[in-house]
Amino acid sequence: MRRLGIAAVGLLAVALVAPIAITAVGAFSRAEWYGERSEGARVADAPALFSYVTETWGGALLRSAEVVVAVAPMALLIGAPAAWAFRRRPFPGSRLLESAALVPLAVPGVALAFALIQTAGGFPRFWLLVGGHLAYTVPLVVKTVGNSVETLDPRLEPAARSLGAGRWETASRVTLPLLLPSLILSALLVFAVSWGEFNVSFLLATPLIQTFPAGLYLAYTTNSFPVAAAATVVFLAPVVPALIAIQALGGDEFHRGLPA
Amino acid sequence: MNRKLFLTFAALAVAAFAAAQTTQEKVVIQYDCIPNYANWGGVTALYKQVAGVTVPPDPKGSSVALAALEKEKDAPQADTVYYSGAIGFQAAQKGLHEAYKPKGWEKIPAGLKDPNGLWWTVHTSAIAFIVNTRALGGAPVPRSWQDLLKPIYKGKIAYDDPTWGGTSYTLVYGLNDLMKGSEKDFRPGLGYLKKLDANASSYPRESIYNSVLRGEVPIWINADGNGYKMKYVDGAPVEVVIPAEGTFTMPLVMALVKGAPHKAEAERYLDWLLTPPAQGEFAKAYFLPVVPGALPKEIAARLLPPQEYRRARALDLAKMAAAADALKKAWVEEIRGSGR
Amino acid sequence: MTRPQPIAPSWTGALLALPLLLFLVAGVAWPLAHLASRALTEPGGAAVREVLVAGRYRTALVNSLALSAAAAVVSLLLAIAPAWVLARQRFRGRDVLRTAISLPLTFSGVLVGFLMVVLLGRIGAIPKALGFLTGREAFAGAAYTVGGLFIAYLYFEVPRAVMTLESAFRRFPGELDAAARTLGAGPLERLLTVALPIAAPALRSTLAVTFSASMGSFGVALILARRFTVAPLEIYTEMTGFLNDDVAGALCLALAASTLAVGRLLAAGRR
Repeated sequence: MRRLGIAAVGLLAVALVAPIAITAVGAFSRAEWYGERSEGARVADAPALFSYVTETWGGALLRSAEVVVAVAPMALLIGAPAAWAFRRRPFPGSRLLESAALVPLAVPGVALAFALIQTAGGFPRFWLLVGGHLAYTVPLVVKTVGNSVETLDPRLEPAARSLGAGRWETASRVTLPLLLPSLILSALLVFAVSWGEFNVSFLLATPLIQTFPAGLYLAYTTNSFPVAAAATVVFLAPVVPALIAIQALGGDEFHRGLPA
Repeated sequence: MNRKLFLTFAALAVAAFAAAQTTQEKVVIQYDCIPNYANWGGVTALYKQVAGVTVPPDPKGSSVALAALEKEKDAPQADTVYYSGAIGFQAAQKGLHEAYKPKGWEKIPAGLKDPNGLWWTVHTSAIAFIVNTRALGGAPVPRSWQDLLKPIYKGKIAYDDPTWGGTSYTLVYGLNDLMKGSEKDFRPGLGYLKKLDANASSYPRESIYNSVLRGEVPIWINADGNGYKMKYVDGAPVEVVIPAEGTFTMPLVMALVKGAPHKAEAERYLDWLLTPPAQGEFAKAYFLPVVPGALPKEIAARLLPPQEYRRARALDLAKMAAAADALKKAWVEEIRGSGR
Repeated sequence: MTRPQPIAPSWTGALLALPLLLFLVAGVAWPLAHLASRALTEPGGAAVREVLVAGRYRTALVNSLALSAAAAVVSLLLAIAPAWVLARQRFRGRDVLRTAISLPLTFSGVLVGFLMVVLLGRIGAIPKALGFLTGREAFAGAAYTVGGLFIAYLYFEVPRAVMTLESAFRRFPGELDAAARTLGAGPLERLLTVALPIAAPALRSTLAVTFSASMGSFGVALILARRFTVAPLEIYTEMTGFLNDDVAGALCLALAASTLAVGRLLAAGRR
């Protein structure tokens, strides 16, 4: 029975990883299976494939990085203090606000993107994009940091205060160091979500402001199979290490918000 | 330690903001700039090389480009736009373009440009069957519109959604014309397309150039040049067929968008598109340059013989433009709306 | 002097949570309220009626609901055993398998769609391999059918269900399990009679998570859907193709409302 269960887990893992493996192997070793390439001799070998991808979607890669770099600190600043307050300094309505914080995860990205354009279409598109990404990342920060606050001894902060530490000193020398792992975990989650987010980004994209997943869509629809596969590998390159780190840090919440 | 963390985050945020602001390279925004259609990929890459100006790819078809310009009328985002003739004609009527006569204007034959410079042709093409013979699964290459209705082609045929692409609007209008319909009576054309629906795999709203190349789609009804490019440039087992009953030619036009944000840059680009290098680059995708004499001999020699193209007729752009909204709507209701 | 600070209504707390409140109101609630308010005025109201009454739009909504419900149920069933094993058993390679299973969660929908094309397109790897082995290329083009779309949904929902359930199973009281074991119950019996009833709220919330993810899924259908259509795809087409903001808004409203309502329904009775 035990063996059977482990076998089932193994089978599932293989079934989920196989498509990626087949794609990679197919693209880089037997690309002729997949017909001719409209990019011609420019993508004759694997290095050429990757330089074609970074050349064509370099701007989108940079844009995705910019979005992530803008979203991560903002999501932490919005989510983490609130998560701490919900546990340590509850106020009237804090339970309601806490559950409201998770609602955006259930709002379809396409609908939110449309609503954002309708109400704030005049906003610079980059910041509208950041706003859309925050909706799907802030809840993860609230959840992750909240879980972590729960495991902390509630007497530590009062103890620090009674020893003469001021409010800021307590925050910076007691609370923050204790929450640091969960903040790092949150940042990784934000990164993983933001990097892969397609639904909001694609609808909010303009010809100049496009994120890499939108570039991936173009690669899938307008490019040959090997280029599309190479673009996929470029997309996954930073995600997989982040995922491994998230797993190592015990990221329990990441299944909630990752893009569909 | 924590102050450092905060400072790092703050610095990153500032850096992101700065980076978002500093991408000030020279650009011209062109709606409908699909890399694998008429070699826009090659043309824009060449322009980047010679002028240092980026013209980013844009996946909108003609109809979507028109709709987007209409929506952005008060705050235009695009500088230039490319369409299949009838849609450009319609957009000019709607007042979405600014008159401009690019250098080389006089070389464009009359009838292929608006006298006031609201639009002008850059190249022409004809509707054809683009057949990936390896993907046909043993079925013979179809030769006529009637052939396409045969059950052996079930699930093998695609043509773009005409509410997305102008090429497909030309196809839908032209078929109705060919089948003795009129700009008031769409029944003959839509009746045929209804029957064709049984064999259609999809009505794409994106370029399926590579899908055809790969063999995902065996038969694509589209501009002949795209098929020639597959065959001669990309080496795919593709045959271009001019259907026996006849087909339609189509001018493909450019225009300057009214209120273009990068107007001066856009005008220089539009001028360049009529120069020999740019026209030659279009010819590499077997779209016929509008400037006489710009078609290289070796390209001309590979096209189907002229007697095949005698079956291709030109359509009246004014009538096509006038019928566009109603015909597209009818197509959506009768064909696309039937989505199983 | 070391008595714990009383947990009383706190201005500090409200102040710290203020950015979150402001963000939720400005970034989420306000846009959605605007969407809803469109339905109260014409032509937004007419568009809502058009979307709900009949035709392609309602078909798209019904398709979305049916596909998402089916994907949620099937992925839950497929996830129970692996989640249980991952949560309750220690074995070599567990962390590697767990990471492998969670990998698809980082894929955006278009990527999943592309993988399906590679595997089950007209020239996909599976038809090719079958053709090589049996001489007949079966399943060519299956990626573009409803079945293909469903498999694609499972591809990103099963990992989601496994991870959601696993964290619930891990909190599951071990003593109960041990007690059942001493009473002679086998593993399967313990799962069915002890674990699952206790886990019912977790199962419900797993359904809620996967259902809402499927309702919002857009990239997969964008790549794969041919004749079949789902609500997010129609929203995209109406918005960018037809620039029909009224219909797009009505569809958004219907999609968001049905997703949130089903989610609430599943979450209700959880406490």
